[in-house]
Amino acid sequence: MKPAGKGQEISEKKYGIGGDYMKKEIYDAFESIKPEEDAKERMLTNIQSMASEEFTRRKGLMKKQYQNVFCVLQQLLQQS
Amino acid sequence: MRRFAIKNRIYIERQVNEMQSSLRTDEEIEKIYNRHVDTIYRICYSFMKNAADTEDMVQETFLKLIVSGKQFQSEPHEKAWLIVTASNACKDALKCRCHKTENIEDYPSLTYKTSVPENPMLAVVLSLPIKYKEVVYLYYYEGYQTPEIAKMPHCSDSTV
Repeated sequence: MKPAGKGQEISEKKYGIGGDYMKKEIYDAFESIKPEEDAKERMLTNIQSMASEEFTRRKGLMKKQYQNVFCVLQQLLQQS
Repeated sequence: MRRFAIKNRIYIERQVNEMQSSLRTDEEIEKIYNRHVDTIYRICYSFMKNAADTEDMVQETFLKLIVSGKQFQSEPHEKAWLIVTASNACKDALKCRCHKTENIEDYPSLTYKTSVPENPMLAVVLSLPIKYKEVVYLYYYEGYQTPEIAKMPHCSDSTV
């Protein structure tokens, strides 16, 4: 029969008081995830080129939409 | 009619200029990117579990930031927005992957997509269900408090 409070004692021995050891382990695990320098540069280049493409696409779309509106209004004016 | 055409042209140019000015310059993008890339990479990796998909998600997150033209009150606000956007993008990508059908002949190559981490704690953390992973990261790594975490995925303190 395990004495009362033994579980906590074992836990504190293993993980430190208040689970600080556990916190550190989890922190270190996330800390080990890091992008490599060349991957960082590659991603930035891709982001900048994608942003530029997206801007050009939106600009074209916007112009097309207004041109369509203009055409419709022109037709309406001609009809009236 | 000619006057209307000129007005229309001016209006289009104004709209394009507004869109252009709301977007950040390359320098601003680079600064934001350098400030947050490690954080966003970590959060994306914890969802995607491999470098290639993680890179795609990081790019998608920053692209969303650029395209949205969103202005932030402070750096912590900017960081919180990026964290939420990145985790939502990863969740969406994983959902799509669940519904995607793969050719059975490609199966051997698919099994190598997820790399097994050397750190045993990292392996445990990565194997957590999605809903816990995000909270564990925000609490243990970023040091956010429970009420702050609750605000991010919009759930109650007790759920967190």
